[in-house]
Amino acid sequence: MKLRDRHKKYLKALGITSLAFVLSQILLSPLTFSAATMISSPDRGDFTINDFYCHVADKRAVRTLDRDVVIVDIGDLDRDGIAEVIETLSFCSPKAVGVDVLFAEPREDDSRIINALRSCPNIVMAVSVKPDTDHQDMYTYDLQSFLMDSISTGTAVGATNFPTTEGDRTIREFRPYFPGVTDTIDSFALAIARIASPSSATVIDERGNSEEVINFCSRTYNIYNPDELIENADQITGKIVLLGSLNHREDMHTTPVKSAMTGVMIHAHTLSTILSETYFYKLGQWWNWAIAFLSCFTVIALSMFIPTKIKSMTMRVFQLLLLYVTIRYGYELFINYNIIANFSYSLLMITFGLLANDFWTGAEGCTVWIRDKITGLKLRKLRFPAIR
Amino acid sequence: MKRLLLIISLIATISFKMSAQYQVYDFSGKVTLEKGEKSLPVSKKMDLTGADVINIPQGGFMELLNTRSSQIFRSTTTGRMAVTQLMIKAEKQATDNAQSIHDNMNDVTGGRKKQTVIRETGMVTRSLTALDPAVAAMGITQENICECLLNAIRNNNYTPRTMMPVSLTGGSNDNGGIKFSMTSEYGYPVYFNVLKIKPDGFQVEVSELGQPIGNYMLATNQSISREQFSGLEEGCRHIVLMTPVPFNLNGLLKDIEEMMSNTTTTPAPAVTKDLPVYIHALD
Repeated sequence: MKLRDRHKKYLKALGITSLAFVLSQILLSPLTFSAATMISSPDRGDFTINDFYCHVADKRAVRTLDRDVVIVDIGDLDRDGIAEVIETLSFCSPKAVGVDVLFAEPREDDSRIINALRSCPNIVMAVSVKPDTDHQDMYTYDLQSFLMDSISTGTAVGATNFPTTEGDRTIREFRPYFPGVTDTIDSFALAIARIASPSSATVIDERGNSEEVINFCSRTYNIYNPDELIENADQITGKIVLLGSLNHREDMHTTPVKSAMTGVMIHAHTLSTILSETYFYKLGQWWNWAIAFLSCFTVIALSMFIPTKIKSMTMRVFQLLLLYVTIRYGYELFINYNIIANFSYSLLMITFGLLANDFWTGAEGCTVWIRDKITGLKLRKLRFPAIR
Repeated sequence: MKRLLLIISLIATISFKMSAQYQVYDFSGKVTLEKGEKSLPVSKKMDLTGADVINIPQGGFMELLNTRSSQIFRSTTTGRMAVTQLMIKAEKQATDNAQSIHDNMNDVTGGRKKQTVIRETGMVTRSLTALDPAVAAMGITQENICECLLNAIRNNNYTPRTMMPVSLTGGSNDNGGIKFSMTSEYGYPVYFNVLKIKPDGFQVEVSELGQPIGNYMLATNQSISREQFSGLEEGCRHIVLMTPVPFNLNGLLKDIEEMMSNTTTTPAPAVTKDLPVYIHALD
């Protein structure tokens, strides 16, 4: 093949890839939505390839028991019951205690719970925040326990909100901070980390991201019921204890690894992410599109050099191979390098690449046809000038 | 004083606990442990050595905790294997990314369908095997069953009039809970549930041991048992209602409620003696 022909083919491949890029920009939203609904529940379209990687990673035969974080399941305990648990915990000298319970209203005799919370060192209380209607991208307190003033003025608080646009969506990330007009409210997990491991909290501060991906994979925790606390006191001493209910139906959320996970368990995973500093690095949009463009160009350029007879079959086989390679190495990046690359753009562009190829070939055919027609008309005019 | 005791017990727990390098973290099925020449049943937190041999039965799994590295190794492979062997296999499996993807591909595509929740869990919507033809010929209806049940409630007589087709044992335990166990060698399936008769007059509900509502089937050569350890509503009587035909418990309870609310003075309905509707109290 002549060098000029080869260059021509590369240029054509570049043109088709650019067309595929334009097509995918236009049709990205409706197509990804319908593709997602094929995999996730039909009414939600709430799926990312990252969920699949998380799912695979979580099912591995080796998990890690996080020794730093312990969960105490308070179930349906009343305030006195919770007070008793906190009293016992205080004796075990935990590093920090996160209370994922909101004592919304005062009741007849709250003295015991107030005293228990007051005497427990390094406690973090849960609050919830809401967007500040007067200031854009700012937050203000929504709900907090009525007894905050009674405990002590310096008690740490952390926002338990999860960053989802709608309720019942998959929780994949957490927001470390909720900036307010007067002060910044830390997330529940970060507030605990500030007490238990200030150096880890500094790392997240330095990263400065508004959202971080929660590392849900292959991690498990020691979970104790209140009546198991004494016999497992050695597992609590010097550890971070999260106090919450593991059977509260209203506090169940979808995560990439489980369809229903309680809020306290999500906070535990968030806390582990902060403490272990195993953050995921999301490739930026530009990177994702650059990889997509390059993959698409490779496929199209390859198709130019394949003989027409076997082109169709070879391209389909190549597409399937590429799909496998994408998933396989995407997982490799995810699990070994903590990198989240969104290969859905690549897959989409390759699909559009073949469509763009058809368009391009069709357009070429049309051009030739029109050119032939015009040339034919000119010739006829030259041959038969009398016919008008 | 109570606080002092608590502190002492906490100090004792913290000071004297020593654990081995390997421990049983979780398991299912009849997993056994071969220590030397002894075969022992496995229990959670059991200390192990690397040379111990574990026997995992069909359908079971075993999880081991390496207390030093805080790693949990899971094995679903059945058969005999040493603790170290199990861990090596698990480690190999965990690092085989290609195999992990392959194994989980179905979960994301076809596997999602398996998670469909059928709302009528526990409710028999069709009979799984043929009914006893003799019983089928008797024409047991919801009305018949309802009458039998009402009769038993009115007469406060919850002993079956004829011998039950299954062997049933049950009763209360020391903590105020109840349990039952039944085994069937009867040639046809039987259908049953556990109901609760409230102490304050004639109110019937599904017992805690009969949840969720519906009727359950016990086939030939099967056994079933269930126990609630404690926390049952006081003063209630729990009865097993069993027939060789499926019944609509929702409709039955509704009918019973209606019949009871009409009048409590109406004499108990006459019941055909030989009707195979078995009512047995779990006292």
